[in-house]
Amino acid sequence: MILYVPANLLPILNVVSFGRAEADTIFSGVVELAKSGDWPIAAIVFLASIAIPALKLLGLTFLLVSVQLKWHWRPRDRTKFYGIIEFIGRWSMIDVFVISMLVALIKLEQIATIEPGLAAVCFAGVVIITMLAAMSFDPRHIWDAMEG
Amino acid sequence: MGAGMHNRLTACPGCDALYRVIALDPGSVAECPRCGEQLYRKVKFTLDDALALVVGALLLLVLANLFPIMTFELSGRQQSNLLISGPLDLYREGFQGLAVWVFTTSIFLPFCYLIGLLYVLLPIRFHQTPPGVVGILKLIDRLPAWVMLDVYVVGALVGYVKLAAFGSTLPGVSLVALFLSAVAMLGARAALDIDGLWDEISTRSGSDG
Repeated sequence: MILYVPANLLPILNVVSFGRAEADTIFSGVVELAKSGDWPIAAIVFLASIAIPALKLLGLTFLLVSVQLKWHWRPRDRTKFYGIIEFIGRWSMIDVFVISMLVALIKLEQIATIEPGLAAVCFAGVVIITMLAAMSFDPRHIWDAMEG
Repeated sequence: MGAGMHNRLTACPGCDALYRVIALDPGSVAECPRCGEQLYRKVKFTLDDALALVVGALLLLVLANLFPIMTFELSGRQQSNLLISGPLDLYREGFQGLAVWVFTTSIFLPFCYLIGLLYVLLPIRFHQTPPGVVGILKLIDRLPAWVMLDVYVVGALVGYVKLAAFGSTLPGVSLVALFLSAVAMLGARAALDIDGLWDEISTRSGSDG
């Protein structure tokens, strides 16, 4: 039962998160940073905002499917994989915090103003939901299949 | 770990296998041989260590909330922001949900976490049991995932690099305080012997909760 909730929520929000209604998208921000030579920072933002959420969604889906089908394949690695997914989830919030900082800092009306986009809300939503989803998944289900 | 810890069984949080609990050397960890999950650990640090880190983190967090995080200057105009101004501006611009979420994870929950720890640890240090300790300790155990001070610090650094391209940007006192507070908080978490704490509480109240 617990497993069905995240399984149903994940794909829906996944679509929403990419509908960023703003000139500066998450990805273009990464490209911008990489162009200006800030490779390490660009890498951090890319990992946190694009790679980690995608990995989380795919990874959780994979785990859910594997549990539903009662796979016996490498349960130890799957348990470890779950631990990683649960741990890295919160780091996706980096982008939201960046936005919150920039919005407050750049308020020079004529010269430059930064306004948050709708995507920021969707993005935060994805992070929260996937974190809850990861928490509600119980790695013990992986092992139940081994015993049953 | 108290004497009650021996001759006890524990279930692996990863795969539910049952194990008899044995005494560990300080600083070592018991892992489940089946799935590799951590079963329990014996912490090297004392309650005083954890308490010191909690107090330190709390003081630094107060500082971090009082001073500007960053100052930005462009064509003679200066602007600086506090930790709270991010959520406030988000709120003003119509992003209430986002504002509440940022406020909760970067200000409210860090304070809750540290004050909660202080509320539990301080009386226990002086051999008292604070009222409601079981509920609060359970809550504290679940909080760390939502206390995102460390994530915020990295976010602030990313923001700093982005801004440096536009105009002169100066990191403020708060950023340093925030960083140190996040480090102290992680340290406190590592130094805290949560199993020992539960033992302490259950032996004192005379019943296993």
